[in-house]
Amino acid sequence: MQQAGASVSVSLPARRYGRLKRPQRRFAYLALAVPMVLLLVFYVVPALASLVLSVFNWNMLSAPKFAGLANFRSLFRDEIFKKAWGNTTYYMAVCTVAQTALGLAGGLVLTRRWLKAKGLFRVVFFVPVVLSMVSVGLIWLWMLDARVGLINIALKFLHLPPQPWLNSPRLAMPCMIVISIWKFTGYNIVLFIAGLQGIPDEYNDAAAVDGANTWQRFRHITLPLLRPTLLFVLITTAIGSFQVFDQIYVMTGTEGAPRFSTMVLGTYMYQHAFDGLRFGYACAFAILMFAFLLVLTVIQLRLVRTESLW
Amino acid sequence: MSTHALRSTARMRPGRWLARGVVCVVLMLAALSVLVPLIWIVLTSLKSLPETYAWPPKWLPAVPQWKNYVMILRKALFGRYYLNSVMVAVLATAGNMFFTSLGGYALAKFEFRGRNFMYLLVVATMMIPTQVTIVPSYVVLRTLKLTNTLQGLILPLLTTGFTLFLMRQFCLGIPDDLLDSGRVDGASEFQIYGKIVLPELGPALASVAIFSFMTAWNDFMWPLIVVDSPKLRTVPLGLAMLKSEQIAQWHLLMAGTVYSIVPVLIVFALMQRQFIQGITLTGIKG
Repeated sequence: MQQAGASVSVSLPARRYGRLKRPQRRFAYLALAVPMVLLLVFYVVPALASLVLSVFNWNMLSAPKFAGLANFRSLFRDEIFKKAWGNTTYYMAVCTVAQTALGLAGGLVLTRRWLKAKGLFRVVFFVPVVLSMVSVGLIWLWMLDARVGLINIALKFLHLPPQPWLNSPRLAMPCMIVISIWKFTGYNIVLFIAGLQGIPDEYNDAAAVDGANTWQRFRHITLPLLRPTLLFVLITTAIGSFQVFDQIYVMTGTEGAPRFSTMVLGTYMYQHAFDGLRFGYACAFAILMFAFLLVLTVIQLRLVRTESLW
Repeated sequence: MSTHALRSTARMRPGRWLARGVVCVVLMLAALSVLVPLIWIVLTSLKSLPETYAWPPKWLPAVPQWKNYVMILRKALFGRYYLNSVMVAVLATAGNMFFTSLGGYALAKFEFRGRNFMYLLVVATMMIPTQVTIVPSYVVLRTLKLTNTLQGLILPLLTTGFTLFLMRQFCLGIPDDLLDSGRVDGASEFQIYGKIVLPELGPALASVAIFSFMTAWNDFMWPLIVVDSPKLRTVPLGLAMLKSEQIAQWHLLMAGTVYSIVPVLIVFALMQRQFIQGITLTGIKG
């Protein structure tokens, strides 16, 4: 690698930098001191602490009491926990599929040569991404108001029955999903546009000359080359949606009304940790969530890597 | 380009025109789905309370109630919330840019014992979901007696695995010759960082800046946990509290929401190219 060493003055050895030179190594350690400490203090140590705390009972006021696997056993018997798990998984599955598919569709549309004002559309779709989830929650709380929300006004205008939306156990969670799609799809669209722009036009053009139709070009050129982006979008969307909290907290509160249909793992855990002061229980929660996400990520990696999937 | 001749519009089948038409319509509807709610909340914020509940619905207020915006300031310390958000976001962003560029440079261009371990650590932290760290992080903060402080809000944002990773990836692309020439010229390592490396990192710094700023400004769960006193609330927290304090006062709530989103929208409008470039960069490097 280093031929430069030969042409440079004798004060620099021909070997790679950093390995021998003390001032450089010192610089590297200094440079990384603060970032590493911060990462340790706010990520690594808490993660390990979660693992440890999950086998204790702790209310922050008195000393932690060892509880063995009691927390995990209670979790498996906790009906609300199971409901929250189901809700969160349902939310995550639909959000991931929808936001990825729509992101891909949007990305494809916004990279067509014949379309004008692509940049403008891209910006418009991205606007919800930059808004805080709290504002988005309030905006839609108002839009979905049962009496005077814009959605129900529109429905009445079309002579369709207005729906109780967030007050209906059946409709509340789907509303949350749609809102999440509204907010985050623009982000995936931008990612897919970037991925698609990385595919040279010549490939598609050559295939067109050879007689491939649109679907064939998509399946054999676009999709395989888009695999890294697809993987990235799938994983980040899944992980992100699984951790949903802000939206639920602001719109339907930590009780997961109506009738627990919007209770998610994030809010239920928050309830236990900060309302109920059951930190050990909350940590057991978190560990299970982590394990699940880990398995999910591995599955996703495996699935998208398989050649035979397409 | 000869390939354009293959798809010249003169020879397109009517089916293709139809498909394109449908796509355009769907696109416009999607764009409207973004714009209409935003317009609606602005309109609502300018109505009086009876007008917001009027039936049949009134689209425009009879007289724009600008005083709603003033009332919000009186009912909640929104000015204070803004100040807090700005301080947290600016300091967190500046800090993040500094620490991760320095750290990323060190990880990318230096060899030392423990380097690979540190790199793996960085990657690992990106995989950890928030819920796993947030409860013990709060305990850590309590031990440091930093709960209910601005420092407590800023500290976790000063370095994130994601931004550090991004910086490292970017620094890998800096040619070693540039760094060598600096060393030959007798520059100290820190001078090399400042004069050679930093200028090369332009797009990456912009990405990190945007991400950090947005994360810090829109963050909700952490301030919710850390902040007790109303004087230290950030804008998202203030808005959420407003909702529970001003129940059903939708005209006021919408004014508060407009307050929250206007700064972000302005920043976005001014910098949308950098925003989108920043996201694109992370997608490519990520």
